[in-house]
Amino acid sequence: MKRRSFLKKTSLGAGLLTAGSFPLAAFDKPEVIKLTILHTNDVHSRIEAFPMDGGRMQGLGGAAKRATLLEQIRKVEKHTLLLDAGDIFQGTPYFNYFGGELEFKLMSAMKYDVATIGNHDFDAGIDGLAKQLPKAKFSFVNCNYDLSDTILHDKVKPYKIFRKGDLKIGVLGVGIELEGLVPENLYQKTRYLDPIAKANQYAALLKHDEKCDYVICLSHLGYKYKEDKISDIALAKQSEDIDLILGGHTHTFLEQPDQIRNKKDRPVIINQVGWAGIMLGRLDVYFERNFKDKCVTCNNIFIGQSVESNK
Amino acid sequence: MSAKQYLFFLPVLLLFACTKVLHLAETKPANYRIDADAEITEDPAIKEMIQPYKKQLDAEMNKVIGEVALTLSKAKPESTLGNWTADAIQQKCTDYYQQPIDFSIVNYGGLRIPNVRKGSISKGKVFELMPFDNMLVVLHLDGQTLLDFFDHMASNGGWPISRGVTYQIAGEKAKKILVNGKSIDPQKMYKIGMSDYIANGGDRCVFFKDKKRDQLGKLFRDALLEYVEEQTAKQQLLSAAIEGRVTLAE
Repeated sequence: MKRRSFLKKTSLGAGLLTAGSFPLAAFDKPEVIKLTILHTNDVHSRIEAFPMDGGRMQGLGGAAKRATLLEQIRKVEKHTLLLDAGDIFQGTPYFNYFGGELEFKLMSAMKYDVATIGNHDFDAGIDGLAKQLPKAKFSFVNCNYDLSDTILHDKVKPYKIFRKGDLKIGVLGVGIELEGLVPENLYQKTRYLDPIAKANQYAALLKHDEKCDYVICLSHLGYKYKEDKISDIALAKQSEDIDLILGGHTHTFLEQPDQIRNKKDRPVIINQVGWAGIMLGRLDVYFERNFKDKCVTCNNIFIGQSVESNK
Repeated sequence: MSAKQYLFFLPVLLLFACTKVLHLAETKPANYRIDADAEITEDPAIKEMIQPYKKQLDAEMNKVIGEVALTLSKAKPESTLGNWTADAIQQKCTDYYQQPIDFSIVNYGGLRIPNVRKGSISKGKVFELMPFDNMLVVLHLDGQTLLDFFDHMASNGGWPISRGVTYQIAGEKAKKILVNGKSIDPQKMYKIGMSDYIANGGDRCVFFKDKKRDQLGKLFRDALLEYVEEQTAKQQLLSAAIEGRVTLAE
């Protein structure tokens, strides 16, 4: 009896060994998984392209063209995520008249996955934001606003996890200090908490407890400041488990994504694409499935052209 | 070796045989710019979603909300458009604040069009005049800071100010400043209506940044719209004159 069971196990073990060793032959061509991350920030109710009025921005942007571009990308790429780093609201009469309803409807039609809250998203008050939320078929994440005493207490989560094929991606959100920036009667009982401490806490949870392969921080802190103020650069430097920061607030058109070393001396990539939907950000992230100490395609720098015009 | 021992080694064998991990290999950026002449069509479904809102909005923006008696123009040191805007803001700040304030100011650069022509004025015109989403605040200023601010306005060639205040520009300095007929008392506190852009230190008003403020929770533009609508309801034409509020010293 004992011997029979032993034989059974060994043959199973041997079988698995054979199967397991099979990919060794394919070492030159490791399994690579591609994730295409698409993002916007500070669209500011720019539903239509800028009017053709001779201004500097004329003809730029517009949701209808962005939607076409997104569909073209999705036809080619298997795994995509579409994210927004806040300040969806305020900037054209579309917001003043319809309170953000059309912004959310269009983003839902474009299949946005998740967004974070910008300071201007409070411009119709926290009640105004809550009122439009049912029109958003995507989620909102923020981990440094304590919303427990507000109408949004069960509407905004600190993070959201997405599965794309075998990939597990965690997305968390951080927002800017509202005091002095937004009238208190608009943000009401929203309490601002330290974005670095909170981002690190939830990034660690996503990386280590939830075993996410990749952690994205949607940030409305701003890219960088002359004065000593928390920014995406400061956050990146003091972070441990964030792979990518997609920023907003400062309306920064980055020539190409920035790369900062974190506390563990690992690279964190920061990207921000100006404002008004003039640009659509895109980062193609490649993952290689291989043995722990083997990574053929690993290249800790990003390459390629940063800005691709659609002309 | 017992079966038990083999059972122990089996997971170890499996681990060596087929455990693979995901490595973050590479990140390639490829941001897109959505240009006017980009060879990219507009998504018809999105356009269709926008259409009813656009139609409604265009109708709203073209709506006539008042009548302008004479063309209001923007100029330095004092202008009709500047005086009109400053008076409107003073009126609305007082309404929202529900108590008197000393006066209101508008930064010259904050007026975004050179003039508002005589005749009917549309809602869209007010959006053109004030496209920014600045909020109104009442700033509490001591007389000394206020004196510095008058110098700042003077060095900028004169900023619009509401009725009841006069000052002269002498080079980079303001002189003969009178607030409701009285000179500024450096020890006294004053309440000034303005946009949060200025109160936050915009247009180099750094001396405002740490001052006490009351948020009025209203947009500068909405205040102008309300003011126009109220004037129209009272059957009054929109008008302003050069009254010698800001003058150049001889």
